[in-house]
Amino acid sequence: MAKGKILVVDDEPDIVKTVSMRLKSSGYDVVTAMDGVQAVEVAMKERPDLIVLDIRMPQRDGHGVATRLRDSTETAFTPIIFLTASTTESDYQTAVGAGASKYITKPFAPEELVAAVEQLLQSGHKRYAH
Amino acid sequence: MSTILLVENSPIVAELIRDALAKAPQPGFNVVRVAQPNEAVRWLSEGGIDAVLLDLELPDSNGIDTLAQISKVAPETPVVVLTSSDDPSLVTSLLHLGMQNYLIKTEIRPGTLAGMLVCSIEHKRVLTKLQAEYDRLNEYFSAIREGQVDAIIGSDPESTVLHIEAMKLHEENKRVAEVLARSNAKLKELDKAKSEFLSIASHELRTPLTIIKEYVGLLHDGIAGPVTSDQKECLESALQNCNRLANLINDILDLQRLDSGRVRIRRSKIDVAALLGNCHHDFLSRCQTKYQRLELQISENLPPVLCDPGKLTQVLVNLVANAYKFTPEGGAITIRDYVPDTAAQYVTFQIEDTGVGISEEDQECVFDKFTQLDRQPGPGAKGTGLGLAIAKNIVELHGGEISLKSSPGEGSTFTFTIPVYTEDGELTAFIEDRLSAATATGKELSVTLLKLDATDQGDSGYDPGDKIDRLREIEKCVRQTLRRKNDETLVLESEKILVIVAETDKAGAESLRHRVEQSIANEFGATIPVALGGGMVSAEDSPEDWMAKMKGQFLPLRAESLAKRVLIVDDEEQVLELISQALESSSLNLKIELANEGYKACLRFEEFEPHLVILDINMPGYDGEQVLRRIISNPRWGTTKVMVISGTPEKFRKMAELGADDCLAKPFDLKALVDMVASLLHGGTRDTLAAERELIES
Repeated sequence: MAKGKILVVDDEPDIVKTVSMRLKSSGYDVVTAMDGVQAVEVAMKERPDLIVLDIRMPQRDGHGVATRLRDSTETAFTPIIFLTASTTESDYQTAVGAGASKYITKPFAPEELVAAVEQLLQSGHKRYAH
Repeated sequence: MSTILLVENSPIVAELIRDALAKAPQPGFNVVRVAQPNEAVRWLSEGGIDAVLLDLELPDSNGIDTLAQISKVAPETPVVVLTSSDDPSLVTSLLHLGMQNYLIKTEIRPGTLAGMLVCSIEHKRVLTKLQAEYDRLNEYFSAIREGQVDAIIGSDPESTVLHIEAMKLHEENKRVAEVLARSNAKLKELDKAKSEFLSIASHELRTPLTIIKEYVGLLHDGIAGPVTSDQKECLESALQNCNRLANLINDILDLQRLDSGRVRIRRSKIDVAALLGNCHHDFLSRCQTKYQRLELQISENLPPVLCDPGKLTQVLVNLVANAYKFTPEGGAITIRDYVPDTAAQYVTFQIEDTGVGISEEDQECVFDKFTQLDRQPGPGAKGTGLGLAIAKNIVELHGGEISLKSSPGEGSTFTFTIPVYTEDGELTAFIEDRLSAATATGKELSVTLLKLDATDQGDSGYDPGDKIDRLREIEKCVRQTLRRKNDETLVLESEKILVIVAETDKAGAESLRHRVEQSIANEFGATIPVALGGGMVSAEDSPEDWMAKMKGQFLPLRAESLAKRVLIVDDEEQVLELISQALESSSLNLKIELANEGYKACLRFEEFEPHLVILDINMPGYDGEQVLRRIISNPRWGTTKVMVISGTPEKFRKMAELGADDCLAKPFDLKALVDMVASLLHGGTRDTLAAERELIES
């Protein structure tokens, strides 16, 4: 049985593909979206346990997606990992403001991504101990 | 010899004057006589005349007109007038026309005539000079008035030239300044363009690099199918080179941030021996493959330093990597520290190698960006040429210095210093680092100080010796109320003060102080002798100013902060009414807010920060479970208690698992509810499992 369902969002098909393969090999179900608008649709329909989200995308960027998802009952608590090539302080701050659970920059270490996914999915069922 | 031009119609008078001058006690007069004014003008315009002797009563012209004409043609030649009248008004008008002196014809004697001519010549010479000086001064003054010169250089005759030179220089300076300003603006533009380019380039490079690295990684890890060991080796190399490229991109960005002052360091008290040990350990196997000896020498009295451990590690790694690269097989690298004495303000670190060394002229640019000297590193030892520049930048950010001693063929020694830890230094660094981070993102920084009151006589059950422990406990408690990642605390052991910094404005600082007071009062009781102070800090003030400003404002813990906030969430208005009335009429000191929808409750939550949430489960839209999930998924709400009320107790187990502290089935007895609220608020935590056990038993 899959360890959880993860939505991977990126406008680069190859990023979507490699991240999906990586997560599938670690035992997760993966659904994908190629832009921000599609991301919100898929998130509403599929109710993923976690979302891996790019920032720079056409139509609706990652910040917009996160803000939109945080506004909906169904997705308000879904952990979001921002996976982005942007290293600017302002993008980071905006992401944190939009409710990022984790911020990982590209190129990333696959182990780091998988570890972050695992940790976030576990802590979702537990009260934070501080 | 002075040449005198005599303008005299009468030959007799002329002869008389020649005679007088010839007999004069002052010899040396050469007299040229003309009879007509126009002849006089011709002589004068030809030059060589030292003085004019003019008979005012010429027959066919007005003597006054002639004087005017002469003065005009030769203004610097003195004129002595011969006249039969000494009417003062005539004399005055003659003086105005340029006459130097006059002589009454009847009084001409050899001595007086010659003496007067000599005096007049000298007088006129001095006058001319004075006039020139006056003109030049005037010129100076007007130049100063117009702001063209900054100072008068001198008053000797050459100063006129100097003055003109100064004016020219001034003009030149102005022109150069304009050129400089223009090129400066151009440079700034270019620098901005460079930053933008680097930022875009790094983004554009990152994406394809990530994709390549990921595909290779998937192949390498066997996720895309089985690979042979030969293939795996190839992929391993590909991955390593991907990482090298990634490091280069990161280095460039690092340096760009360092250059533009956007790198933030977080300095604290660091036991640097461990860092040195880690660095040594990380390089050991690599050095062994080159048969290099890597030695670590740590002195016994190595004190803690004040540094950003991650950044200091970066410096060490860059320097050791550099030594590793340029040291041939069989060489030696030594990492060591040096502490001159116990009063030393800096710890010195050295990375010494027996490598190829660096010539003296190259030593100057070794810390420059992208400097790859013409040295021959070993195979596979290519760098970015950025490591040393980054190291220098980081060391300087810490207030230290870095230097190099090397001679070609004999190896190199890099030496850098890092300040020794002191409590004052730590406090200054703590606030400075956070202030610069806050300022960079356009935020304000507040500092709150908390001290255990010095007037405490020990009646609250602990002696002053426990203060640090108690302060640490308080710190732990305070940290739970801090919300953002940049809100931080520091304990000053010698002063026994807890410092809390938060990126917030004045109003935010006030509300933070409230939260801190509440959580301390909740945790330790309202009688704890604690005083708080603080204020906003700004980059314009010096660290001493901050402390002076803040330490003068300690106020004791405020008792009104002890009212506990309770948020009641239920979609039925009557239930809300019922519970709030029961609680308000109880002896509990409470502040109550109501929410009739789950989503509203979540929104209210952030503002109100309740100590306790009384939560219904079955609500339309956002139900109790969703509200609870939201509460628990956010670390900042760690101290809030949640009490679930519902008509469907079968859902309690799920809620308890999620983290609810207690549950009460509807319909309930109001007294039981009040008791439960009291016990949750004042009796500490009830273990969720115990709560659930009770539920199961009931």
